[in-house]
Amino acid sequence: MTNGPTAAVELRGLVKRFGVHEVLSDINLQIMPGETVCILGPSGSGKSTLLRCINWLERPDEGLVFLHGTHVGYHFTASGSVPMTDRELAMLRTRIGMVFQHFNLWPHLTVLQNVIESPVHVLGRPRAEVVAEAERLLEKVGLVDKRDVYPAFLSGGQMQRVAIARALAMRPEVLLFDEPTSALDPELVGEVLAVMRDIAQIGLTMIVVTHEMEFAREAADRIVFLDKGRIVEVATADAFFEHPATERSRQFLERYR
Amino acid sequence: MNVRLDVLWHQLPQFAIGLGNTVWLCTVSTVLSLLLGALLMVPLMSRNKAMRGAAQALIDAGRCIPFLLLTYLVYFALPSLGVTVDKWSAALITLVGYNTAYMAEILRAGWVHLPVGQTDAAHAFGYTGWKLFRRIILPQVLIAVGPVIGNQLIQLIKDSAFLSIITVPELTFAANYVQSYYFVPFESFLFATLLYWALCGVVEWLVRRGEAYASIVRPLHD
Repeated sequence: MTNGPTAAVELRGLVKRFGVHEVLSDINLQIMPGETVCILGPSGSGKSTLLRCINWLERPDEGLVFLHGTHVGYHFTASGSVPMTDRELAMLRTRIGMVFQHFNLWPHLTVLQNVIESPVHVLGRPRAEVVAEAERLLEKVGLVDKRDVYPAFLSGGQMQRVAIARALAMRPEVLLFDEPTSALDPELVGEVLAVMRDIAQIGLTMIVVTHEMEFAREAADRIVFLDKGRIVEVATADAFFEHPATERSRQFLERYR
Repeated sequence: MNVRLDVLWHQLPQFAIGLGNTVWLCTVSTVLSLLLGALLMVPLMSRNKAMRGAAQALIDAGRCIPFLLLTYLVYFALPSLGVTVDKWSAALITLVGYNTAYMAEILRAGWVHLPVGQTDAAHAFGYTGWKLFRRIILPQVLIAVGPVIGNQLIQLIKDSAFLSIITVPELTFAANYVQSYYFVPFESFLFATLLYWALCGVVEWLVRRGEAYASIVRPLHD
């Protein structure tokens, strides 16, 4: 372990293969509590896979994942490592929020039911308390008037804002965003990014895979630039956008100017 | 030809009893076979290959036996093994056993077509095992396959006519009784047919009502 404060998320020597294809190679990364980190990179560079390895939706083939110093995926004992059971993994995942590209709201539940579902049925928190908190969160994302509506009646931007409220209702230690605006019509992107900026400001640790350069530049503390499954550059947002350190980063940024 | 509506009129109680028995037998066995079919999902979608194989074999066995033959087996063949069942139990065992196989198959098809994102999200929020199945997967599967279950219910209603052979007093049995006692085959069988049509009409209507609801709560994306 490193000295100083414990990282919110640490990846050490992470490798992920799909068949013979290595999609992530030797990923080492520390994300500190309260940081907003944007993961940038061309399509197919492994950004989403990296994110999904953090909460073990994808099982890394090699390497370690830590959440606030706790191993994710394995127990380490004197006699070696034991894979976690599904139940143990599930309990760890409740500490990590996730927002998906295609929202993945549960269509059989109303907006409010989507938000309270997991806090009540997974965490076992009292329903009344969770409903009150859910209403505050829906207010925060500007959708309290939609609380009893089914997802099918919402626009993409509204669905994604509900999905963010749903993730926040779990009171996660870390919030993962997997291309949260990539499936949205251009005119709906702004409302979702606005909500994400608000969250970044309250100091929740956020890891955001995105193609929104403007957002990354304004909201991110640091940028992780990924290409062909490798971390090419890690830098503060200012440094990355003003003085990219590698030729590959420069090429990538060219296309967005 | 002299149509004897008066006989039908006087024998209405017979038909009412028959219809009533058909309705409750079919309702109870639909509910039970849906429950058992849902339980069968667990081994059927299991990661364990032997478990999956066993569940599949059981389902295929149920689906690939003629309903009438299964009725004979339960009512006439089981006593040879020392297991005696009365006609009502035999009726329920046959209806439930036969339909559980179909329900499991229907539910499995619905589950396979559930968008991957739905279980992804559930896993990410800490769902696993039975809770994942009951709260996230099963409701969506039931909504998706509602019309197919309605179809299966119609099939079940028609199959239940075979139970008259083991003297279960359901609708076909009642019609047969009335026609043979009063020599009114035309009136009696036609009336029973109309009642079956009406029954299936009710099921169709329920399915359409369900469809209107399902169009609201079915996944639109992915």
